[in-house]
Amino acid sequence: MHDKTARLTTDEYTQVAPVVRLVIALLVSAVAAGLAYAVSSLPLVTTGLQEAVAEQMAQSGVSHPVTAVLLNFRGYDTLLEMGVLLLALVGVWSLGSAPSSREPPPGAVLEFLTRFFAPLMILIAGYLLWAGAHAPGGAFQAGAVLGASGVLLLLSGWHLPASLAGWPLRLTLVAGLAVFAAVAAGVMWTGASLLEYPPQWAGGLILLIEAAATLSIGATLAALFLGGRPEDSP
Amino acid sequence: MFGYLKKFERVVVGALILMLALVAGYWIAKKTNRDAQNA
Repeated sequence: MHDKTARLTTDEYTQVAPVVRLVIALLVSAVAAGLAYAVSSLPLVTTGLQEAVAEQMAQSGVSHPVTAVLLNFRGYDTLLEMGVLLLALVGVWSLGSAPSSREPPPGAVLEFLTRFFAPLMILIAGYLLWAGAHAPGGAFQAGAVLGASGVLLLLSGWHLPASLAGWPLRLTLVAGLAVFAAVAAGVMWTGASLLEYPPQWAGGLILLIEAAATLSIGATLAALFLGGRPEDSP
Repeated sequence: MFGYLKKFERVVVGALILMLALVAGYWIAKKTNRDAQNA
């Protein structure tokens, strides 16, 4: 068994049994064939769903059509996107520990700018999250800004404190998907379908999902930049 | 096969597979029910 804390070498990757490789190849081929069939089945000319979205906007809980589509009408897609993001991070972490930072300590100018910009970016992320209900914005944009502030901090020599690198980080990473899945399934207690928010609660539920998703997306993007699993992690 | 994953990562992968299976099962059941009603 290889050392789990070390980075895997190319030789270790190629030790996968041929049968497993064949199964993986068949599964990937099946997915590719399914995607090709789906794409070839699409109508050549389509009127789109603008009118259908516009008709249902009052039920969505928000006033911006993109947010309504992403978080309500097409919730399945966004829910699974959160899963894909988390899976990408698990893939990176499976490669081994994060390489030790080679960034030199920041100079006075960079340190000042980082201290100035990081809180400002967090504020902008909060604004984008809130604005998403009625204007362009939302969890992914806010999460991207939050992730960028994390990257800026990491580039300027900041380290995640060891007390936060364990379960607090992991809870933040899974919070978005967990809250989304809990709300998606929770509304079924009211007799609705999966992801079918009651119109009177839709606005609040979407904000709750987006708030958790913003934190998770930001933390995931910054953690992806680290390039590996934080040290001393469970 | 998953020896290179630590506990947290195994839990995440397991939960994602379970969630995907549940969502797919729910969607198939709902579609089957809708098709039966339309028939």
